[in-house]
Amino acid sequence: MTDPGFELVHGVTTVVFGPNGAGKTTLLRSIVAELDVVAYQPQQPYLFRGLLGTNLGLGLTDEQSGLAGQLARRFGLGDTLSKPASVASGGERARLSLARTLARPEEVVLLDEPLAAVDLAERPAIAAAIRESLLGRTGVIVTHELEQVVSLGDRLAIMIEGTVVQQGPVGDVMGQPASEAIARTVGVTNVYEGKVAARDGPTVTVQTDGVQMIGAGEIEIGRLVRVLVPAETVTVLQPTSAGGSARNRWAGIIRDMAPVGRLVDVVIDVGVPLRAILTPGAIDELGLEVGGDVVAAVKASSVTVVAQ
Amino acid sequence: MDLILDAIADAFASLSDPELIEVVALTLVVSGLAAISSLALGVPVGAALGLGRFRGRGTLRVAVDVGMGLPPVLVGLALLLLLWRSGPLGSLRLTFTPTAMVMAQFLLALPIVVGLTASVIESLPAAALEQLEALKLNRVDRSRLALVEVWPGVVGAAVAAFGRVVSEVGAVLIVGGNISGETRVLTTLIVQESRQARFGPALGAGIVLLVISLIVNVSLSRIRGAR
Repeated sequence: MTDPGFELVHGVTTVVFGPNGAGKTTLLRSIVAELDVVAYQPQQPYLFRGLLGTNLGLGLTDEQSGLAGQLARRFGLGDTLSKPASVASGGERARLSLARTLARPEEVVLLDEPLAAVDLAERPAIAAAIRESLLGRTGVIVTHELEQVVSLGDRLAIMIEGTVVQQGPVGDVMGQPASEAIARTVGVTNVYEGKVAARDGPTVTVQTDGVQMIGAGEIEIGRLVRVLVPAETVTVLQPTSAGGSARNRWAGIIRDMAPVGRLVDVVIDVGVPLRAILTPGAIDELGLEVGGDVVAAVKASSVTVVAQ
Repeated sequence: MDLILDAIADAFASLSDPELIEVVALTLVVSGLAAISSLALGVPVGAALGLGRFRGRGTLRVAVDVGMGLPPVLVGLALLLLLWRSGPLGSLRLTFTPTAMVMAQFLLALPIVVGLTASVIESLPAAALEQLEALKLNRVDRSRLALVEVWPGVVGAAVAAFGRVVSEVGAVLIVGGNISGETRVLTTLIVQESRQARFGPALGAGIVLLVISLIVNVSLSRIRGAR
């Protein structure tokens, strides 16, 4: 897999992320051509003449068809399997193809934008099913939506203009983009793992290893989650300043400041490392320096919590 | 003007001629068998050509394209040479038999069936072709799935094949010999009668030929319309 520089890591799921036209689908097709023994769901699932149920079993043994049937019911397709394929909606096509692909026995599973045609409300449940099915297998999932990166991937590969420009564990890549171009593409996002400690309507409190974070998400207490805090949403304040509407306020110490293009990447230790992107003007005005005490504030609506 | 009016009157009178009925029956049998056998071989070959990645695919495609436009007289002549008493297949004693006529029409219909089947499969959306690959079916199942997907196009190929053979005259005339009661079909009957200036019976045979074409085309279009 040397051409675009993609590293296929066995036993984990790698999400390939990048803007449209970055060559993500081409990368998947080249893996299909090279490895041959893969389960592959193309970006535009196609259903053939006949019933949805007939399409579900295509290319599968009886046992695999049984598994595909279970997944299809889990994806809410139970009542639709006797419908002609010609009247299936885009979402039904996507869910059916996903059930069929996940039921395949191959160790390597490639999914091209598996959730793109799926309704937002159904995505968390289907994402959870994908993660379960891929447990212990080698997954490569293409997406252009950052939230799916966090819900589906162990590793992240960023693709820009046909080349994989950075790859590694999701938190590492999202938290430390290797170049300005990557930072512009994916943004700088702090990613933490934690467990839901409390729930209050549309927000949840997550206990991470070092700090509590309040974010948007309707996830039951006790679930393992990932928390996304985009660096540009972090406000840095003097330790003495009070008030404000942000629900997350963490006292911390500045550990590092480095220029990123015309902006400055500030790393604050708030119990966990938190990156903030600030303008040089703001740095001067606040008199920020490495080793100084600050308060970092983030609105709960800027913090995304995704179930794992 | 009288000539034409008389021909039309005679044409309708000739429709009840027992010889014409015999000729119609032989026409349907010969062209029907040729069309059916060309479909039996041509549809799977066309599917393989449309889906295929095999050595010699390009050469086969060119051969099929050339075959689609082959002059019937040339096919008839080539087959006659093969079947001639002293030719390579002379021992089969097939010259001037309905079997030879079926063979000639089969050769004319086959490239049409192969070429049109391959074309309709190649015209499947790219997403369908990619999905076919992703399903990892064996060759037979993959071809079958693709053919079911494009079956109205395959029906079109059948119509084209039958239309081509039922209306051709050169090949059947050469290998069949237009022997009355044995190898005379509608087209060779028309040639025969026209040569003898018996325009009424010639026109009568022409009307029957037209009706047969019409019936086949309309029924197959209906089948396609009901998909």
